[in-house]
This record gives sequence, structure tokens and C-alpha cells, in this order.
Amino acid sequence: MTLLAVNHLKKEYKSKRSTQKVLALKDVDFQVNEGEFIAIMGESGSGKSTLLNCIATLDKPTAGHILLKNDDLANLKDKDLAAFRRDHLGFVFQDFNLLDTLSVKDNIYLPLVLAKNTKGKEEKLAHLAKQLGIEDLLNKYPYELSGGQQQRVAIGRALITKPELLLCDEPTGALDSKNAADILNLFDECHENGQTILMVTHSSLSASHAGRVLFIKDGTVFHQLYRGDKSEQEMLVAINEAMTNLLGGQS
Amino acid sequence: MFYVKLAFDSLRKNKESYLPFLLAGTAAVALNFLVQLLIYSSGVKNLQFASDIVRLLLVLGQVIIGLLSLVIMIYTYSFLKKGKEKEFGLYSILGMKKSDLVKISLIQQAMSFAITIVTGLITGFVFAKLMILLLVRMVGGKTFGMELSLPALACTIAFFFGVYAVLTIIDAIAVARTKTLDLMKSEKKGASAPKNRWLFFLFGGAALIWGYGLSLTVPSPIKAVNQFFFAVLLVAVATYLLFIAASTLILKALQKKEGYYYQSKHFITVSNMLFRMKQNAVGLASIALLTTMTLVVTVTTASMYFGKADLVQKMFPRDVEVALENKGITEEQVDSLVNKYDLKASGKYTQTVSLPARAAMSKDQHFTSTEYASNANERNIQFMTLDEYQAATGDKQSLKANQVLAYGRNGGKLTRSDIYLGKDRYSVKQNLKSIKGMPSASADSTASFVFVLPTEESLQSATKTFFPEVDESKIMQTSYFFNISGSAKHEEDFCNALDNYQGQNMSFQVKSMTEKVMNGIYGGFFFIGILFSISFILATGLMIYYKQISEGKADQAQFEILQKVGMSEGEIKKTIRSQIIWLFGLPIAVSLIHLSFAMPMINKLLLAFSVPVTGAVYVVMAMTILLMVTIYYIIYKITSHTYYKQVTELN
Repeated sequence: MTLLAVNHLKKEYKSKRSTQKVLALKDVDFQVNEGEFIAIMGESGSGKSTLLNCIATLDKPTAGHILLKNDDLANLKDKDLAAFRRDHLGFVFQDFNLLDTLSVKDNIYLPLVLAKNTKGKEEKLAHLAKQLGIEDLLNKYPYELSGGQQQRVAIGRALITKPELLLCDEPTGALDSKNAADILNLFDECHENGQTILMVTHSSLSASHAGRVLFIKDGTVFHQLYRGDKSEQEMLVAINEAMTNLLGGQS
Repeated sequence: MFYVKLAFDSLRKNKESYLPFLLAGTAAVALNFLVQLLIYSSGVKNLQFASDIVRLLLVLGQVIIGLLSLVIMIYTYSFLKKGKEKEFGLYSILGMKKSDLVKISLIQQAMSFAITIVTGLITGFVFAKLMILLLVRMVGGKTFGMELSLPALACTIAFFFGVYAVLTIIDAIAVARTKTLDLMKSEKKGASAPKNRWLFFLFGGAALIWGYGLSLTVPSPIKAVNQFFFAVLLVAVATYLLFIAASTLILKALQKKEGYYYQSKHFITVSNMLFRMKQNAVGLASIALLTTMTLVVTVTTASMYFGKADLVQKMFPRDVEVALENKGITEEQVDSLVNKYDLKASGKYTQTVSLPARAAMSKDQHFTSTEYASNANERNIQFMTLDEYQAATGDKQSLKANQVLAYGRNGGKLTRSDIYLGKDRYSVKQNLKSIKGMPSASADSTASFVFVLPTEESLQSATKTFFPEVDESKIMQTSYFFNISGSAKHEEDFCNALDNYQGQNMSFQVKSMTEKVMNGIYGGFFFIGILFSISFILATGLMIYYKQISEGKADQAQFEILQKVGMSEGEIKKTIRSQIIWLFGLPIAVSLIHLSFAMPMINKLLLAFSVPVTGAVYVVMAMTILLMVTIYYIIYKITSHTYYKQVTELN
């Protein structure tokens, strides 16, 4: 079943000084099925972050539609956007974006508190903490943690509301290879538990964990690659090949 | 030269945080200079008998303002320091020694010192001159001399030299203690979670109770003047300690209350406030103190200004009082003078009372004649015969030979029913609330009594005890009271004519003339009060502005995260509102509490200036509070609006 449908998405920016418009997304079109783990790859400036922001309702498309479970996001009123994000989406960022003023526990509770849905929060937390391996860190503060630990907490915050779609923006960008691998394995686990994940990255290694990889260049989906029965290693090779041939070869 | 260039470069690069620091420095210099100018001004010196007390108050004010300036400078500098340390880290990586870094810091301090001193002194002087021009008009045409005095200049420069030395030392310590990599990181490193500080809490609590206690128990006006500074200092220290310690304790307790804490409207506010408390506490305490200072100064000086009308009313039952000493002038002579100047006299009466004698009153109400008595014991006493009392008031009281009537003024009170006038023992038949026709207040603040004695013999005995060296015929004085109406010019001529009689066994007081003199004195006070208030409000505005721009920048990242995670604009507005309400409400609430505890002491202080505490004081107080709250509300509105815009700008 289709969870997310992106139909002919177009996004233009007007820069402040000049009247010239910058075309970030030309025509993006793809679907995400429930339970899928999708990676979107592209160079800096390819428009992948813009795409993510549009899906996250942080930005409004110039043309085209984004549908989550057949509901058009364009129909949401401005004042409902925050609630929508809170209830349907989970976010994991490159630089974790934890609040330094909240303890680890409270950081994870944050979306529940905002949703005024704090009933049974302890059980939800206990379950997640075990899965994420952060049981010993709950009373610490983010600035006392390593990058890998912080990202685990961020994932906990994203997952505690059981969102339909988990959006990740370069989740391993700020981590060393060991921690990055751990985090990716965590995503794999979540995926196996049925979580739909959409990850934006320019790391082939990260993308190799996904079931499908979309390549974006100059504002359009340039190519896509299915994992099928490939192992992670084979997928990585395939991704790197695609990158070299398709993206590099064009220029 | 190389270091100078580096130092200058660093300032230029950090100008966004450096400019407000310079602004704060300039304002602090201006404020201190202004007070110094007042202390050394000829205007204050010429305030006649009140000049010493005004100077004392100004010096106290200077100490408080000086302390506040130091705190504000360190506080604002701490924001600047973060960015600077990162730069120092870079220099250190490039191979500079720590001594070189200190040298750069020293040069920077010298530059800021020069800039703030020059701009501060100029603005301070110009501001003071402008204020005086404005207020001299208000107060009624009396010029108030204020000149560019060298001691004032020297004091201000010396003080700020010290302040900048402190800042340099803080810098040097920071550089000496940290490693290169820490210096690089110092901008990123946020404040860590504050710990409970029970020691601060206990000391703060003790200082507060002590300070409040002093105010509540101060026995006499003179003591109030002496202890005022100490009490203020205690309360100021307590405010800082308690804001630092109690705020953390309270917020941590709130965090423990799950039902309260895990609500969207409290969650972010409480955890945020807790974290920033280390810096916020100092700022909030300073704001609370500034607010209190404004209220106290305004209430005191305004009460004096408005209370003086009341005082004059009490001092003068009639427009003119002429003392007919030894028949130096007779009633008829006065009347003919009144007629001569086309004036009409009305409501005439005379009253005969003894001269005031200086006496000491012991605990069992033993009055003894004395040249010197401690402030607590000193009383002015006067005598009056029963016949005269009956004639003046129409009150047909009768007294036994050992009975007296007592009338206490300026806070004079009898607690026992027996008094001793020298060796004579009397029982007090009645404590009178007033004696008709007798002024109920005098310009002199000493507590005083009028005793109505039963017989001529008892009067003789008392006057012998209390006026051993005065010619008997001069002891009892008859005063002639009357109202006059007519043109002001004629009244002035009449006064001049009376003046020519003076020196020959007569003296006189005219209400309108006294009013003029009092206008000068209390107008001067009020003017100083307004000057202080404006300065305090300016300082407060500056602090809030500083908090706003420095914290808004830091909070922006946080609210960006919150927005992404799903906090709606409405909720962000609510969170900001409640944070800013804390920021504004807490200092106002604290200053109101401070003020209510300060009132007993202020009342006594006012008594030291012969201003009886009247309902007018409370009206003035209510008006001042209302005005403060209004001004704060406006600043609050602007701040929350700007802060919201600053914080929600999503990149």
C-alpha cells in the first residue's frame, strides 16, 4: 500500500536580492510503500534537502502534490502543520538537534508532551531505551553524551510517537564509522519491525542499507536502484557504480 | 603594534556583541558620573540645612549604583567573552603564548575603557545639564548649580579603571586556566545544569531576614538614616544570593512534580529557565534591585515634595505668626502695618507658651534639662498654663495640683501615666490630640511635648528647672496669629516692613515665604529622585535589551528544533510569553515585597526630614508602582514581540 506519494513536485526559490528564481526541484515523482526503507542520494545542491523539507511540511512546494495516506499536505492549514508533524512524522537530523536544556529522558518525552499524550510514557520509554541501548543514559544531559549516543536519543525522540514515516537527514553525517554502522543497524532493526523510513544522504554506505535508492540530480529523480536480493556489500558496489556512471558521467 | 592590530581586529569582528557591551559601559559611566557631579555640585551644597543629608543619600546611592555598574559590566562582558575565547584559541593554535593573549586582552580592555570613559563622561554631563534645565523649571525657577568638577571626574575615572581591571583579571584567569582546545570550544559549550546551592540559599535567607528585620525594628529617624545603607546592602546581597539559589531550588522542585512539569505549557519554560538561571539569576536580581531602587527613591522624594504642603499646613495654623517678645511689637502695631500695606487681617488670636527647652527623657519619663542628649532621648518641651489653655481652646478642663495635660508632636509619645519635670512628679490627666491654634508640626524633627501645668507655681518651678539662665520675663512668649489677604506685592512689602522690626525683640514667620524655601529644598530632593528614577529605568531598559538580544540569538536554534519536532506557533508564543512573564514579573514582585518591608524604614527616614507620614505617601506609592508597571508592560510587549520574531526566523 502506498504511504507517501510525491507527484510532480516543483519548488522555486526567489533569492532576496535579485528577481532571478532558483529552481531547486524541477519535477520529482515517486511513491513510498508502507514498510519501505528508501534512501535518496544526491550531491550537495541537488535538491534533496528541499525535497525532505517539503515532505516534512517545513516548506511549501511551488507546484505538485505530496500525499500521505492519500491526504494532500497542501490542504493542511498553517496552524495544523505542527500537530501534523508531531502526529505523523519522526525526524532524525545530522546534528541530532537535541535540546541541551532537557535531560535525555525529557528529550524523548518532548513529542508526547507537545501532543499532550503523556499517559503510559514510562512504558514506551522503557521499551525504546532497551531497543536503542540507552537505558543507562536517561538521566544525563545531551552535552554529556558522545555523538553516537546523542543520535540514539534523537532516534528515540523520533520513534516514541510511533510515526507513520521516519524522515532522516544525513543521520550518520556527524558520526565516526563505528557509530555510523551502529546507527544504520538500528535503522535496519526498525525497518524489520515495519517502520517506514525515508533517508536523505550522500553516503553510499548509508544508502546501501536501504531497500531502494533514488538518485536526484538537478531537481529530478535521475535513477533508482532496487536492492532486491543483493547483500549490503553488493548494494554498495551497485550504488557506487550508479553514482560514477550516472551522476559523474553526465557532467 | 602587532598586538594592537590584533586586538582591534578582534573587537571589529565581534562587534555584534561588543557594541551592546560598550553601550552598557557608556551608560554605567554616565550614570556614575552624573551622581558624582551631583555630590560635588554647588546646588547640593546650597540646599541649606538639608545639604549634609542629601549628600549622605547621594553617597549611598553612589555605592549602590557603583555595585550595580560592576555587576552589569561583568554580566554583559560574560556574553562577549565567549566569542573572544574562541578567537584566543585560534591565536593559541597559531603559536601565541598565554602571556601574549593576556597582552591582547589588556589592549582591548584599554580600548574599551577609553571609549566608554570618553563617551560616558560626555553623555553623562550633557544628560545631567539637560535634566537640570528641565527640572529647574518644574521645581520653580530656583537655579541648581552643577559644574564640571575635578573630584567628580577623578572619582568616576578611578572607579571604572578598577572595573576594567577586574574584567582584565577575569580574562587573564580564563586564559591561564584553560587549554588551547578548550578555548576553541568555549563558544559551543553551553552552561551546564545548575546545582542546588543550599549555602547560597541559607546565607541569602539570613541576610534577607536581617535586612528586613533592621527595617521593621528601626527605632528612630536618625538611626534610620544610619542603618538604611546597611539594610540596603544586606537586602541587595540577599537578592542576588536568593535569585541564584532559590530559583534553582524552586524550578527543580517543579520538575519533580510530574503532573505540572509534563504539560506542554510548562515543560519547555521550566527546563529552559532552570538552565539559564545561572546567568538569568544575576540579571533578574539586578533588575529587581533597580526596580526597588526606583520605587524607594521615587516614593521617598515624592512624599517629601508632596508632604511638604501638609507640613506647611501643620506649621502654620494662620498665614502669619508674629512672636511678641517682651512687647517688642504690639498687636496694634502689627495691625496698623497690615492696614498700611492695604492688606486685610482675619482670624486673629494670640497664644502664650514657653520657649522650647531641650530636655532628655529617661525610660521612666523623667525629664531633665540638658545641653546634649542622645538622639533617642532628646525631646523639646514647652509649658503652658491652664488658664491660657482654657482661653485658647475653650476646653473647661480642671487640673489637680499634681496633674498635667500633655500634647506630643513630631512623634513625641508618652507611655506611662507619670512624668517627672525635674523633681516634680505629675500624673498625666490626658494626652491631648491637639491644642487649638497651636501649630501641630515644626520644621525641626525632634520629638516634642507641650505640658499644660495646673498653677502659676508649678509653672515657676518648671521654668526654673529648665530655663535656669534665661531672664524670667523672656520665657513665656506670646504669639500673634492671623490670616492676611491682599496682593502678593503688598504682602512682600509687609514682610519687609516686619523684617525691619526684627532684631528688636520680635520674630515672625510667614507661610508663603516658608513655602518658597521648602519648595527649594524638597523640590531639589524630588529632582534628585526623578533623576535617579530615570537613570534606574534607563539601566533596567538596557539590561532587558541586552538579555533579549543575547538570549534571543541563543534560543533561536532551540525554537527551530521545537518547531521541527512539532511545536505549533501558538505554543511557541505561549512558551515565550510565560518565560518573559517570569522575567518581568519576578523582579516586579520581588521589588514590591522589598518596598513593603522597606516602608517602616522609609517612614522613619521621612520623619528625619520632618515629613509626617500621611495618606499622601501611599497615594504617591500607588502612583509610582502603577507607572512602573505601565512602563514595564510596554517594555515587556516590545521585548516579547522582538524576541518572538528573532526566535522564529526559520532558516
